[in-house]
Amino acid sequence: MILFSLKSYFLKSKKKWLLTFLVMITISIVLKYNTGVFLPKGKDLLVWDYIFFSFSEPIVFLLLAPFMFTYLIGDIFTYDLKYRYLELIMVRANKRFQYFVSKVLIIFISSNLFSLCFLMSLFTCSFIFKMQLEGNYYYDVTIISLEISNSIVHTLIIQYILFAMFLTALGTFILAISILFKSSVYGFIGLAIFLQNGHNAIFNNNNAMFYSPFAQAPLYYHSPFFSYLSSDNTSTLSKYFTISYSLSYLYGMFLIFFLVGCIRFRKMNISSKGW
Amino acid sequence: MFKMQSENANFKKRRWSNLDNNNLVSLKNITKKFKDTIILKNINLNINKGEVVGIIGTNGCGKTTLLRIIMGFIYPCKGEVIINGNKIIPGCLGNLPTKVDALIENPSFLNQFTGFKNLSLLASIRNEVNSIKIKEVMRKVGLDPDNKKPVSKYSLGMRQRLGIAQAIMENPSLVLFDEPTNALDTDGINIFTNIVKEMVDKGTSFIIVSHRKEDIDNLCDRVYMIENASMSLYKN
Repeated sequence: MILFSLKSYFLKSKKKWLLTFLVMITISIVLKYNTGVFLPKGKDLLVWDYIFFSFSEPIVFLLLAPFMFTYLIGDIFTYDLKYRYLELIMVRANKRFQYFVSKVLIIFISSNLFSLCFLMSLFTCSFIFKMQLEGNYYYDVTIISLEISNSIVHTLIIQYILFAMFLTALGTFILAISILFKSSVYGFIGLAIFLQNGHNAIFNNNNAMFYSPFAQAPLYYHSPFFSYLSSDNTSTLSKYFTISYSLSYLYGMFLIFFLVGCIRFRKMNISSKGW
Repeated sequence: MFKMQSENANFKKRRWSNLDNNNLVSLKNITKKFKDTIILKNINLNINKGEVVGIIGTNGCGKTTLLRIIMGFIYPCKGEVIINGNKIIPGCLGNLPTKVDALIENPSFLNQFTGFKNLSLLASIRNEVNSIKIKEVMRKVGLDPDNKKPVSKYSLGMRQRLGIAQAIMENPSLVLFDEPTNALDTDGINIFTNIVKEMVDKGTSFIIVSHRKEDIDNLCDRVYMIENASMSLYKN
């Protein structure tokens, strides 16, 4: 079942992935021209500065990642249901759980692939613009990461895990909602609510970052990085909005929606007629 | 005409001798309500190996719902379904029927792929049949396995043939057919009839829901009618 689901999903969505990669390349180029917010005039942009900056840009974690990812995986359940393909699959399944787990696995693999593709598009862009690996760093995450651990790769791995985990949790939310309502529309409505909430947390009320799923993805806003940058080092946010907090938050979110989806799928009548 | 009637009589005679009273499907007091409407009430049915049972009734009387309950797609409000001695439990960690295949209403496939690719993908779930067998089944239903046309360009009849092919390719012990001859031409209907007869000879059981009197008359040992949510023996 798992192999079938993966095979049929990636065969079905080849074009979507290609389009997503093209959008990623475009956004990467746009981000390159936006680095002026931290880079002093006349200074060279370095690869690591560019990568960490890109992952922490609101256009990426508020818009590109959630919406493009939902575009990729938003219909993994509703397509099967709407076109009555689900019946052909379930006839061959021994347990409903197999089907549900195969969909969660698609989300997990897709979120990692999405993160890798984004990284790849950033590296491609840095190669095109001939950025250097070594030199003077100007982006705070890179500078602080060197101060703390002296390892940029280690910081990049943390950023990658946060980003992929964020997408996995978000994908599981979309899956659970589409199983609950037998429609993809409600997933997008949920996404819009998260966007409003994330926008408010980033731009207006930083304390709301504790509760916003979107704010968990960028490394920039986490302690120790944010505490160095914040004028108030004693604030709750500076102290407690850590990487482990975000990982626990995203894992909890994943677990809750995994259970919601699983319980609903267990009880649902498999029929496109709405009952 | 006389030859065809005689063939059917021979087919039924041969088949009755094959029935060994091995119970394959057992429905006990199945009741299904949708909101306040009772769709099926206290349905009981036993089907032996190699038996063909027909179900008739008006549109919306609950025929397809009954097939969905047997497949574990829909929970009955009351009663139980037992297939091959195993109780069907639709839940996540439950127990869905094995060795049962179905063609319920109009089949739906992945439109961008060829018929062969679609069947290969579906076969990869159970991993019981290889591409040679899939090609053989496609030829049997009158489709060319090497046809590169995507399913989106198939006619309704071709889709129906592909639907029949997916239902029989894994040698199931029970096949559920819901209006199997929909959109089929005369040649397609003959092919379908021959396939059912051939598989029955090998011990496969069928539940056929059809509006076509000929399908029911030619193939079924027993015919049940669903009327006012109840099922009664219509013809034996």
